[in-house]
Amino acid sequence: MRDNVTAAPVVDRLALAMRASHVLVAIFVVAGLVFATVGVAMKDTFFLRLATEALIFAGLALSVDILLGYSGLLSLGQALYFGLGAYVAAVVLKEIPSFWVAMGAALVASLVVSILAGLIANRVRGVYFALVTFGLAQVAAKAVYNTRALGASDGMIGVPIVPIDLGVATVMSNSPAGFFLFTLAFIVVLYAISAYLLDTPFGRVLLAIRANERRVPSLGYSTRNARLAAYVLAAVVAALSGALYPMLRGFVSPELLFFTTSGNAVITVVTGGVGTLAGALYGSVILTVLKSVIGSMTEHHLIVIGLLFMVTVIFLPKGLMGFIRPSIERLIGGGSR
Amino acid sequence: MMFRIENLHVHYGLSHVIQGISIEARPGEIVGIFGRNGVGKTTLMKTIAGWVGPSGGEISLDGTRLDGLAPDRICRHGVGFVPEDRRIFPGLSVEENLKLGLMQRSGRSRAEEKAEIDLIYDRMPRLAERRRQAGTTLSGGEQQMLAMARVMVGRPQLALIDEPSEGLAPMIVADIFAIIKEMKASGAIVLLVEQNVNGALAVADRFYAIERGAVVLAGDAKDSADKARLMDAIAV
Repeated sequence: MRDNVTAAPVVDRLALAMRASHVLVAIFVVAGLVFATVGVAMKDTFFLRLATEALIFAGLALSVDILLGYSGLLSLGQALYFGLGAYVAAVVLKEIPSFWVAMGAALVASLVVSILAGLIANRVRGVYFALVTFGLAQVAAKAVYNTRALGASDGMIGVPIVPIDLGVATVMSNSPAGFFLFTLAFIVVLYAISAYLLDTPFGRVLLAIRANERRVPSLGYSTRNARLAAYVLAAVVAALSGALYPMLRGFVSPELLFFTTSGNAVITVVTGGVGTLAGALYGSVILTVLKSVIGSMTEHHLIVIGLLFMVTVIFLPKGLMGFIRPSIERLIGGGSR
Repeated sequence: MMFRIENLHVHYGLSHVIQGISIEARPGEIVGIFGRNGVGKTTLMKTIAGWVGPSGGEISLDGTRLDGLAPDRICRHGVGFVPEDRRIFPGLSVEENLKLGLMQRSGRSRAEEKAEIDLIYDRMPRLAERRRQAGTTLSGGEQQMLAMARVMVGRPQLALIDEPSEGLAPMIVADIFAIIKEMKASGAIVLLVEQNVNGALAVADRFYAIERGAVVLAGDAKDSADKARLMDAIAV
């Protein structure tokens, strides 16, 4: 019996799972390219912009998955960084209409704020971490809501259309297909960077922390530093995604920092599949489409979203990717697991 | 290099679990820690590893005070801990579990790290065969080997090994004790807590018997009179 086990093909499960995620993201990109082609052929604007919004919120969901899926940290306040990125980009773009300056400012702001907030939030674990992140986001949301210089409850309008100079080409932020394709590439790059970092020893330490945090320090690792690094990485991903929002919509509002934004990101990740990264992308498309389609039929669309969440938790506890990814793993792993 | 515990006290709330233990050990020495269940053996190991904070006394390795340090810093001072429940990380493969043990030797090149892990695989081919399997899919004996190998790759100056033979088949236990002897041969100090007293005495150089949180007997593991007194002390 034991010899049979020994003779079984050697398969690196984590590497295989990551490769399967890459395949799913590749399929996602191909689907996005087909969608853009059809959209351009049909001279569509609405669905291309809706899909761009789905991609932007996929970045937020990706940040939630980095924390929840890899470190076991449930953040109920990732909207803090998404909104921070959006507001910083909006403020900068109104003064200096440069894409790269806006993104740089969002990056620096998210680094500074997340290191400070991370030092506070990472003092606690579990539900307390969730509550602290929720509280930090609520404080920021209320501050923005009451700050006249930031447009208070009305938000900021009049964010200019910006050219995005990519060296070989320039994309205008008001071009539905162009900005959609740029956002698709941008989110895939964020995915690739996250996947790369989580595939290094740093990612392994995060997985070890998620599995058994108490044991990790006895192997010489500071769990506090690793958790803080994951928190900052997630914040940067959320903020850079959020920075694209005012370029798409031309405005920002305090709702971007509210709990509903954070909560939707968690639902997105649970629907797509926690700890898969690719699930954040698929989940965001599903949730955005559902909200748009059902929202056009009834104002009670959140009931449907809530039901979707419950059904996913009960019948697909590993999310959509948990259902699909094993088949991909079998395909690329030659049937051995 | 010397490992020394002086007048160590540990409290769990109002309960005075370790009551003034003093222990010494030298490089290349296996020191058995024996006693009945609940006398404080595991608490002693956890205190040395930094999992539990002492309420008094000193712990030092090679003149460096370890008491009061965080577990990760204690580990980086050369202390490896194989806890009773092995604590293999679910979700990580055998090799990834091993790589986590390399932190004690940070600053090494990838080639040196690979060579270190290959040494482990040469010594424990069963781990090599299963290196890409999830660590938690291994048998109990293999998990124990992995937990010990994870400490060995860090080449600790002091290895704390808590109940390594618990629940394992005799053949595996012999292999585990052989690994402990190899740790000693590499110059490490090994503190071994073990219920299998006869098995542990066969590999140990010296021993301490603990009763109600205090050392009641210290002796030579090869001295038959000391061994007889140990058996009386712990009523085996």
